[in-house]
Amino acid sequence: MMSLAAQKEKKIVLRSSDGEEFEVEVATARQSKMISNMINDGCVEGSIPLFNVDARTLAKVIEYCRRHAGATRILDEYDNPNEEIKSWDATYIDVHQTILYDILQAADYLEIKDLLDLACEQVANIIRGKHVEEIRNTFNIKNDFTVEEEKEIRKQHPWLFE
Amino acid sequence: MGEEGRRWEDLGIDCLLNVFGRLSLEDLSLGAVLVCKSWHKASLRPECWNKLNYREIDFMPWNKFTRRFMHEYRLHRFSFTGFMKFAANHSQRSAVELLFPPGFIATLEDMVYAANKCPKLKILVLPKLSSEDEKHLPRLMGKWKDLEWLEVGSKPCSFIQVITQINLHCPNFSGLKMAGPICTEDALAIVSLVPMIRRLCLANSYFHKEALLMILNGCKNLDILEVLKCIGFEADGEVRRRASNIKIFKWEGFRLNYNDDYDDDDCDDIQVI
Repeated sequence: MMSLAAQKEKKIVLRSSDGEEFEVEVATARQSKMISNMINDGCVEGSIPLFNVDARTLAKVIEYCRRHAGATRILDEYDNPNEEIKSWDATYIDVHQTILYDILQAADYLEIKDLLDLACEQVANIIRGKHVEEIRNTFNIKNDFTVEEEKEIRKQHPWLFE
Repeated sequence: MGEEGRRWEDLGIDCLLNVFGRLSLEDLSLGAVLVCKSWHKASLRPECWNKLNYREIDFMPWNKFTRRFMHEYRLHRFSFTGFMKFAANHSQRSAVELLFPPGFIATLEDMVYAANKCPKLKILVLPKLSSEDEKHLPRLMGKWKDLEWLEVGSKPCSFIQVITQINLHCPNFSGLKMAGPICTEDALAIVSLVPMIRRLCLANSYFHKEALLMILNGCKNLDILEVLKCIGFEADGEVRRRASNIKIFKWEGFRLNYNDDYDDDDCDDIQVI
C-alpha cells in the first residue's frame, strides 16, 4: 500500500466514452470503488476507458472526487460530515436535472457511494411536495398506466378505511 | 443538450429505491407511487416503507394531506388507522422505524396491528394511549426484539412492566425518551433492568435528586443524559461531579419547585416532541 502522499503524486488517466482523457491523482480516482478495485488488481496501465461516462459528466464527477479526496472529513459529535463539505456538496449538486441524471448514472456505474447518495437525495428533494402530474412534467415521464391499471392502483385500498 | 437517453422512468431499481427510501410517507403515497409503471413497481418494494414516520403528517380531516389522499385513492372516508395500515402493509414486516404522531390517541387495536406488522422495529415512538390500553403495552413490547430506542410522550402507568419486558426481550435496547413523574421505583427499574442504556432523555419530567443520583450511579454506559427543564432536583456539585463521565449532560432549566410561571399541575400532560 502506498502512503497517502505518494498516492497524491501518482496520476492515472481516465478516458471518457467520447474519447477525452483526464489525468487524475490516484487518491481522487480511488473515490470510485470500481477504479480502486482496478488499481488494486494492477489493471491501470495506460488509460482506463469508461464506456458509460461522457466527458462533461466525467469532469463533473472528478470535481467531486477531488474535493472529497482532499477533505479531511471531520465528523461532528453526531457523526455527521462537517458543515463546510455539506455546503460545498449542496452547491455542487444544484444542477439541471439532465446533468443530475448523468451524475447519478455515473456514480452508480463507478460505485461512488457518497456521490450516489448525494444525487439521490437531490432527486428526492425535487420530488418532495409535488403532485403526480408535476413530477411527471419535471422529469419528462409519460403516464404509461392503462385506465384499468390506474383504476386498480387507486381503488385497492378502501377496505382499510371501512 | 436535449433529454435524449435520459429516461427517469428507466432509472435502475437500486437508484429508485435509494431515492424512494428518502421520501416521507406523504410524498411516497401521493407522488412516487402513482407516476408511472416502473416507479410504481419499485415503490411496492418494502425497502421504501421501512421508516413509518407518521409524525410529520397532519391527519386532521380538513387538511391538505387527508383531502389529497382521499382524492388520489378515490376514498369516501379517511382515518389515521386506515393510513397506518396502508403504509404498514407496504412495509411487508420490514419496518425498522415507527413514529406515531405526537399527541395522537391511538387505540389498542392500532398498537396490536403495528406490533404484528412491524416485528423488526428498532425505533418506536409511541402514541398516547388510554390508561386502560397502557396496561397492555408490556405484552406488546415483547414482540419488538430488535428494539433499540423507545420514545413515549408521557410515562405510561405500566412503565415498570414495560421496562421489565424490554429487559427480557430486547437485548439491543439503548435509548429511552420520556417525560413524567420519575419516582425512585422508576429510576430503580431503569438501573436494574436496562443498566446498559446509552441515551436517556427525561426532559420536562419531575423527579428528586435521589432518583437522578440512582441513575447516575447505576447506568455506567450513559453517553447522553438530558434532564432539561425538569422539576424537583438541584444540579448541584454532587450531581455534576457524578455526571462528569457522561459525554453530553444537559440539565439547564431545572426548577426545584413548581412556580407561578408554570400552569400545569400534572407532569403527565407535558408533551415532548
